Amino acid sequence: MSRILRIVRFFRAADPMPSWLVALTAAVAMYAAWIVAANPSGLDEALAMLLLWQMVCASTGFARHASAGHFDAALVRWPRMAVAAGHALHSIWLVAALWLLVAAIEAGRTGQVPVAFESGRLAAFVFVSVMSWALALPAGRLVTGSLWLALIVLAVTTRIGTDQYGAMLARSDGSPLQVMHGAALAMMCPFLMIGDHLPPRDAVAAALFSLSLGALTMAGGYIRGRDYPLEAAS
Amino acid sequence: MSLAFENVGAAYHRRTVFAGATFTMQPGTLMGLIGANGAGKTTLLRIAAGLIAPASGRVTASGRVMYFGGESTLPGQCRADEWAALFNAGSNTRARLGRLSRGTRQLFGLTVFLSNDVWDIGLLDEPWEGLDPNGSRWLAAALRRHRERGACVLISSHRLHDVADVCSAYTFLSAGALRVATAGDLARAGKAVDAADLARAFDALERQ
Repeated sequence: MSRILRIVRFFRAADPMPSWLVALTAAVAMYAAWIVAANPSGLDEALAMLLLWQMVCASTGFARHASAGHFDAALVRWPRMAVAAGHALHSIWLVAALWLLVAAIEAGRTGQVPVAFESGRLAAFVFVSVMSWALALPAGRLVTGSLWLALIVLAVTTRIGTDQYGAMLARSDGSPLQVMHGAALAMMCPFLMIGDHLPPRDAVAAALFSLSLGALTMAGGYIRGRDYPLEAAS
Repeated sequence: MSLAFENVGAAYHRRTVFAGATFTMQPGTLMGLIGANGAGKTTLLRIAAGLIAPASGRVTASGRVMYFGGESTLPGQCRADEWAALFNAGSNTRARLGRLSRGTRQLFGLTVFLSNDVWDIGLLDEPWEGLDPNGSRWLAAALRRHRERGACVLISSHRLHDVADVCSAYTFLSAGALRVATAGDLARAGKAVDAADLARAFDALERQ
């Protein structure tokens, strides 16, 4: 574990979060904490905001820095899978800590198991964290978050397929087909898991956890398996 | 503390860069890597560092490897003191590395690299680039110190005077061909190896 923490420290130094992102994250943190502390019924609003922010923050990118040689010291010193784990942790820890903070505030107020740990919401957060990180690896910072948000906006504004999905989900029969469609919908728009919109909830959550695990494995393989020739420094 | 290349080959976009690289660096060896631009010096170093898989053959490193690819590989957004701390080296400079001049950044990167003894095999790509005369003298002295403690260092450079000054073995790369020579092979009677000897050996390889 101490090795992973050393790797996280390396990435924090070599690829620090831009100062504007730090400032905005602090604002998001304060607003989320205020919502939950002032009005526990606004919890889902705070969680949705953190989900959105994780799309942005976890999208750190890897290949561009690695091709410029910025990560050479880590790639030479530590096993590749440990580097992948350290980079993942470096990318997701901040908003994950905010998620825990919100859960702690809620638990302090209600004295019950926080809703932030409910399987559907947790699955959405894990899925967003892993996918934002993993899909950004071949690209640069913010790429996944930007594309994901654009996709959601496009789907909402054009309403492509939403009527069919709505009819499918309204049946609430829990069939494999419905779970598949629910998972597909949650993959595209994980915000649907904040609240109780998707009926086969546990099954969809399980699907998101499985997809996250698959994405983690593939992302680790990407970092482990590729070559790192030196290209034009950026 | 040794580094062994066994029939190592490299390819880039299916084009063979070099093939059949076979040599071993023993403890306490400073080896100069000399070749034309594009001959594969950086590729050979990155293969030795484990950053690129060889197209053929294998590299065996017994000991901890450290690699410095030059100032352009330092992350510009990183603060100098934070970077130094990662390698247990000290620095009072809080400026971001991207704000430093090229020569200062190169010297800083080398200082961090060479100020500790935790590594056994060093790989340096064009270490003299951007250094002023004082920096060059410091680098030569630091390399000699590491040689005395038994480390082996493979150094790519176009600066033949500097390479001749510190190295005792040489690898020449040209158009896919590779030749390894020791100082004893190249020295003319009674004289230490100098830049002219290295240039002559390189030219001879080029003509083959």
